[in-house]
Amino acid sequence: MSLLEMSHVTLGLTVDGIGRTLLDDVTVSVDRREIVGLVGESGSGKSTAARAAIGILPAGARLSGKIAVEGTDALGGSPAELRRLRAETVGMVFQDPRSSVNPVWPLGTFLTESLRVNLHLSREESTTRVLDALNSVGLRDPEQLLSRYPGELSGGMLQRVVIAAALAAEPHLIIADEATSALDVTTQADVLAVLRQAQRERGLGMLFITHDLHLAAAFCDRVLVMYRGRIVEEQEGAALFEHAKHPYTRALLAAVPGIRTPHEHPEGGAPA
Amino acid sequence: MSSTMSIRTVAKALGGYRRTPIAFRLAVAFLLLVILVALAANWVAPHDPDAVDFAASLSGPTAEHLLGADQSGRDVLSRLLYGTRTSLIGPLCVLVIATALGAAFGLAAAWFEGWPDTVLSRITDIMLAFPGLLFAVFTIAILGRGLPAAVVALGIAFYPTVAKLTRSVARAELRRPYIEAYRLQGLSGLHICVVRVLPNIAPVVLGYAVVLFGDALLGLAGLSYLGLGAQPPSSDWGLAVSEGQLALIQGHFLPALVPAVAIVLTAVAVNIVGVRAADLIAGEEPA
Amino acid sequence: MNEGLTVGSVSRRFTHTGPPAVDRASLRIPPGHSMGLVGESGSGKTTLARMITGLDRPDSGTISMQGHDRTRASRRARERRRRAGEIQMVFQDPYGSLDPRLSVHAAVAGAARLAGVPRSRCGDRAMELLDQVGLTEREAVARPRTLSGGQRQRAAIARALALEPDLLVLDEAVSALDVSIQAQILTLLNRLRTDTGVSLLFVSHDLAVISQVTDDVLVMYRGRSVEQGPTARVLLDPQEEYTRLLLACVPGPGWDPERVGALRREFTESEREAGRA
Repeated sequence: MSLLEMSHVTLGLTVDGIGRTLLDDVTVSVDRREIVGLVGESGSGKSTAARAAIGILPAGARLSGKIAVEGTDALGGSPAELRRLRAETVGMVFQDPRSSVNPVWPLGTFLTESLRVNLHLSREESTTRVLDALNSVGLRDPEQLLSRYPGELSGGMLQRVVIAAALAAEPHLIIADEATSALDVTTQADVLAVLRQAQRERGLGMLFITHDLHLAAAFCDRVLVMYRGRIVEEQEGAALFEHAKHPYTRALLAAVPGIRTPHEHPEGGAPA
Repeated sequence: MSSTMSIRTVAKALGGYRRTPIAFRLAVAFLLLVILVALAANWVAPHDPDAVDFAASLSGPTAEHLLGADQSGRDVLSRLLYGTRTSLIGPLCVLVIATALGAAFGLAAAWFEGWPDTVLSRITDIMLAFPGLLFAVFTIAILGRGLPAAVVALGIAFYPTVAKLTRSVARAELRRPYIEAYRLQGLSGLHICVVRVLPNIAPVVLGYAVVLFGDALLGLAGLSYLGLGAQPPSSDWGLAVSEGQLALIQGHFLPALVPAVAIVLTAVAVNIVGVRAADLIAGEEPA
Repeated sequence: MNEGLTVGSVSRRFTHTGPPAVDRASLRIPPGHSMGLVGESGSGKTTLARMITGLDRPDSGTISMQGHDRTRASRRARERRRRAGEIQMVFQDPYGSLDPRLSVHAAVAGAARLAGVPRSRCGDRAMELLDQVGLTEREAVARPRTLSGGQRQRAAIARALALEPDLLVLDEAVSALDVSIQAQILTLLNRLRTDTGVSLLFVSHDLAVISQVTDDVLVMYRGRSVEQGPTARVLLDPQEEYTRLLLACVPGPGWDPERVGALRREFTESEREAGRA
C-alpha cells in the first residue's frame, strides 16, 4: 500500500463566476523510503495538490478522483480520521518558518503541543520525543532550546525546529512545501541534508514541492512536473537533467542554464 | 469621552456589514433629512427662531407651536430646524482642523524619524492624555467664548488620534519601495510626502476622520451646554438644552428634550454611516 | 579613472559591536559593463548597493560616478536631480515598487519629466520606453494592481530608464519572479545594455542569474569582499573557500547536500580559526 495515493484527481473552483480547473487528472503516489518531487511555477497547482493530499480543499471546490493516505480516504474520512491523519500519519513543513511558529510562545510549547493534545502523550513522553527529534535534525543542546523563543533563532535553525516538530509525531509521510525556498543557499543545503538523513533513518516517504527544477532533480528520487494543473512529465530525478521529454520541462531547464561548477568536475579547475 | 465610545459601539453593531443594512439606510436617510433642513430652514421653519413672544411662554404643543415654546416664547420646532446649521458646520470645522493638524504632525513624524519623530509623538501623547474637555475650557478661557473658539479648541483636542493613525499608516507606506524610487528620482521629502504619500493614505485617514464627526458633534453640544460654545441667541442644540433646563424645572420638558434627542439621533446616525464608510474605504485600499 | 562607477574602501556599520555591515569594499564598473554582487543574507551586498545609489550613506570611503563624488548627501535639488540621472535602481519586490495610484504610463512619464523632457513630449517618451521593455499599450494604461510580477518589473525598468542613467542597479530584481519570466527579464536587460550602453550592477544570491548576465563578480560574506574577478573565471576556478562553498550549493547532477553540509562546517571552522566567527 502506498503512503500517498492520489488517483486522477480533478479539482475545480468557481471564482467570480468563472470556472477554473486547479488540478486536472493528477495522479501522484509516494511510497515509503522514496522522495517524490512536485515541481511547478506559480499557478501550476503544486501547492493545491499538496494540501489536497491531507484533505484541505479551497471552499466550494468540486473534486473528483481518489486521495488516500495509507489507505485512509482523505476526502470522505470522518473528522476524527482526518485529525489522526494530519497529526500522526503526515508531517508538514511549510516555506516560512516564522509563519509556522507562534512567536509569543517558547519553542517547547510549540514542539510538544500537538503531541500532547492530539496524540495524548504525557508531558514526559512528549518531551523525550521532542528532544530526540531535535537531536536528529542536528541541533545541539536541545534542552535549552525548549525555553527559547522563535525570534532568537535564525531562519535556518527555526526551520530545523519545524522539521523536528514534524518528525516528533513519528509520521510516515512528510510533505515539504517549498521548505527551503526562504533560506539562504548554504542553509538550504544543510536543511536538505537533515531532511534526507531523517527520511533515510526513519524510512519515511516524502513529497517535496518546489519551484526549482534543478533542486528537485538533484534531490528527489522521482520528479513530477506540473503545468497549469496537469502533470506533464514524470521521471527519475537524475535522469531529468539529460532526458527531459516534455517541451515545458525542457524550457524550464533551459531558462536556468547550469553553471559549470566544480562539483561537476571533482578535480576542480577548468574542464579538460 | 466614554459616552461617545459606547455610541460608537452601538453604531458599529447596528451598521455592521451586511447583517443590518436597514439601520444603515435609515441613518443615511436621516442625515440627508438633516442636511436638507439645514439648507432649507428658511422655508421650512414655521417661525423665526429668535422671535420672542412671552404670551406663548412655556405653552405645550399647540397648532401655533407644534412642539411648544420655551420660556421666552420662542418656537421649539423652528429652533430645532435652524439648529441643524450649527450642528453640522461646527463639527465639520472641527474635523477640518483636527485632520489638517493630525495629518501634518503624523506625516512629519513618519518622514523624519529619529528625534523629530520622538518630539512630535510625545507632544501628541501629552495632548492625548489631557482631557479634551478640560483643554477646551482652557483654550476658551484664553480665546473667549463662542462657537469659533469652541471649534478651534476641539479641533486641537481631537488632532492626536488622527496624528497617531496618520503616522502609523504613513510609516508603512514610506517603507514601500516605490517611495525609495521617488527619492532616487531626486524629489524632496516635502514633495514626496505631500504629493505622493498623502493622496495614497488619504482614504484611510479620511475614513477615520468621518467617524470623528459624531464625537465632535457631542463635544460641541457639551461645550455649548456649559455656556462655553455657541452663545445666545443661537439655536444651537447644546445651548438649547442648557436653556431648556429652566423649563424642565418648571415641569415643561419639550424645550430641553427635543434638542437633546436631536443631538443623540444625529450623533448615532453619523457614527453608523461613518463606521460603515470607513470600513468600505479601507476595504477598497489599493494593493 | 574618471569614467563609470568607482567605489573606494567603503564601510558601514549599524551596530557598535559585532562585524560591520560593509567592511572596506571597493569596486569599479566601467561604462557599459555588467557587474554582479553575490552573497547570502547578511553579506552586505544590499547595503553596498544602497550606498552606491545614495539611499544610504557610508561611514567611510568614497563613491563617485563619472568623476563626480556622491559620497555625501546633497541638500540642493539641482544636485539631487543630476545624481538621479547617473544611477537608478530596480527593486526586488515587484508588488511594492510602483506607485499604486498611477498608471504605469503616468509613472514613466512623470520620471521622464524629471529628466528634463518637455511636458508635451513626456507621454510619447513614456510609450517609447514601455515599448522598449516589451509592454503593450493596454498594459501601459493599467494600474500596477492588474499587472503580473514580470510586467511590473518591466515597468519599473522603464521608469528607471526614463531618467537616462549611466548605471542601473538591480537589487534581487528577478528573485521574486518565476523562472521562465526571470529568463525573459534577463534577456531584456542584456539587450538594453547593448542598445543603450547602460552599465548594470546585479545584486543577487543566485549564482545562475549572475552567470547569465554579468562580466565581473564580487563575492561578499559578512560585509567583507571575499573574491572578485571575471564571472567566468570565478565560477569555473574559484580561489576562495567561501566561493567554492557557494558554488557547491548549486544543485546539479550528482549534487549531495550532505557533502555541502560538510564543506560548510569546514568553512565555519576556518572562519573561527581566523578569529572572525
